[in-house]
Amino acid sequence: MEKSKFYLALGLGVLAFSIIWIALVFLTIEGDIGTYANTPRTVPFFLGCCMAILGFVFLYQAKLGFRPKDAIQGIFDNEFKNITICVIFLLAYAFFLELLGFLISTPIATFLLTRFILNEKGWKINFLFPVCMTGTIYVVFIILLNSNLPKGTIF
Amino acid sequence: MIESISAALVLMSSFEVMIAICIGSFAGIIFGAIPGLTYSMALALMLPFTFTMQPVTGISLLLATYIGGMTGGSISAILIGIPGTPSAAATVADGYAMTRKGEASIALGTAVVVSTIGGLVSLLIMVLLVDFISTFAIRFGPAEIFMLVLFGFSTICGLSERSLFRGLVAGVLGLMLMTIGIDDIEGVQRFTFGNVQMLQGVNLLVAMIGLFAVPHIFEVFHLRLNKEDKVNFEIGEIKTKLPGFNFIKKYFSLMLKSTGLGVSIGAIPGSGGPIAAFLAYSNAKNSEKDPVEKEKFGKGNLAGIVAPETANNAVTGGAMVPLLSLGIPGDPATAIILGGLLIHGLVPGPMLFIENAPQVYAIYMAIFVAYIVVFILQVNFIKHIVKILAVKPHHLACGILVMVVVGAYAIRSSFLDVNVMIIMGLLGYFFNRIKLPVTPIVLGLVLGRTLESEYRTAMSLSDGSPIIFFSSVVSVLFFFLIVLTIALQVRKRMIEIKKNRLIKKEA
Repeated sequence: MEKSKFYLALGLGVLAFSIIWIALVFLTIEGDIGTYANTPRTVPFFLGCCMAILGFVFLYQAKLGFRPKDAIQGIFDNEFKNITICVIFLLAYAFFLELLGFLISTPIATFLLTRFILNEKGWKINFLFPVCMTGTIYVVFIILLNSNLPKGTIF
Repeated sequence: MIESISAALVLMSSFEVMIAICIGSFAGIIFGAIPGLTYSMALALMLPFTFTMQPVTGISLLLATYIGGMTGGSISAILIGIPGTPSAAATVADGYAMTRKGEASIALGTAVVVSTIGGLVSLLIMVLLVDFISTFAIRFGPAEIFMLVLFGFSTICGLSERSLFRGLVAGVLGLMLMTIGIDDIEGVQRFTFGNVQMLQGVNLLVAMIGLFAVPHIFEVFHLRLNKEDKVNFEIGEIKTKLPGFNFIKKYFSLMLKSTGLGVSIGAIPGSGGPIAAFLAYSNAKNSEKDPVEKEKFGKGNLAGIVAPETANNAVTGGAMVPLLSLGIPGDPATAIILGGLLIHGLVPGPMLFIENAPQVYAIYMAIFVAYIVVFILQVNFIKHIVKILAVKPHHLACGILVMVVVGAYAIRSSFLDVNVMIIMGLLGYFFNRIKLPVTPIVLGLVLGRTLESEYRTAMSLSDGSPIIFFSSVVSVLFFFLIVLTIALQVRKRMIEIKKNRLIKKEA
């Protein structure tokens, strides 16, 4: 993103978000409860207004030609693809955690992560690391600190 | 009081508390020492696991992580010239210069000793100040508390890393997220869209994990998948060499001044370690009368390590003052500790001392023990600790990934929490990319509930008249402080713009 367009984009984004928010305040929250300026809508509405004011401030800054102090970098190569892979992996791991529990899903998930996503070749990283990490977390949190780790529906 | 102290001793003397302090200190040092990882991240990862622990065990784990992290930042600052935490940035100049001269051991030893002294003295000041402020704050009504929280919020947004308005956007977003779920006062659903799981709103712990830890995973894995991995650092044999008694005598007044500065800066919400460390460094440099010694700053002067390291560790005591006495966190780390206190039913504020005195004394003792443990670990195990700097970032990220998913899922055994964590992680990543601060979001989430409930209680008491917020000296004082904070920030920005325009014109 060009530096000079940063505040314009930020201002428009913040303003659009605040308009949607204020609309949701009136459409989804009951408003006829409580006394004057003291309803469940009051604070969310006030926050929406604050956000709108900030949006106008950014637009004004864009009009004056303000530039951010730090350079904003554009989209990196494969950024969407790589982040999507991470998100899918996080969701898949959580799904198997729910199904198989911590002790079974963690070494398998870590192996799949190191071997097929991070493309590691060594046996220490692919086999020893997942088992050691699972064991360490188990010893620290279950044995030493008496905490809980997720149990699965199957195991 | 004696009864409370003896009860606190009993709470503290359990095996689990001691283990929690040792694990927290070690984890804090590791996360503090590795550039890219932060102790806030370590705290966010630890927080969900404290859920099922005894309150004192859980809080001790968090406090030890905080203290270990603050101290551990100096390790990489001294050895590789890259600060592990922003608070250690001021230590780089002289610390790394000493390493290049072959004096790394004495630099590390100095950092450990002054960090411990700064931290312990700040603990003493904290104990005295917390009690004093709590006695005063107990008289506050809802209007005063609302103004106080608003003041804390304005300083946090204003003094956060970037500009005031960008900080405010993040802060307001945090407050907005807090309003999702059931309204505490009327029991009305807000932004739940008929989803039963949304009734509980955005879980604070899940949000913290998402904002502090998940963006790091995305960043590291993205670099690895693009084959642009960051380098890891191989450190040779290293030892910590403790300075002698003459050293303490020589730098005693500097340590005292830096501790005072650290505690004062730490007590201001939103300021924190980096500001304290840089102020102490420049103060040490400017107050040096000997021109030869002054010339040595930046080239390996011990005073250049003593001042920032004492100050940034003294911040820990200072930051705990508004947290424990008023319930206002000063930085992300104390916000996470506040989250930890709240999940164990310890509500910070004046009533904490009346309702949970043994737990409060146990917290003081935990801080003391944590400083001792951190000292022992850094002196005796430094050669093992530095080996972690050689581990590749994506291998560490694998461990962090496991901890974030397990932590988020374990809180309520809810798959929705994992989804919320991912959404918050994406938000945090996006904010990092467009240079918006994420800390105010967390503080908005933490302080939002108090802000709304005190506002609405005050409005109920005054039958809807906003005059109640200006009806006492304390609330008017806080109002002027809010205006002053915002005005000073705007003025600072205007001066910067004028300067830039002048430079452009001259060019």
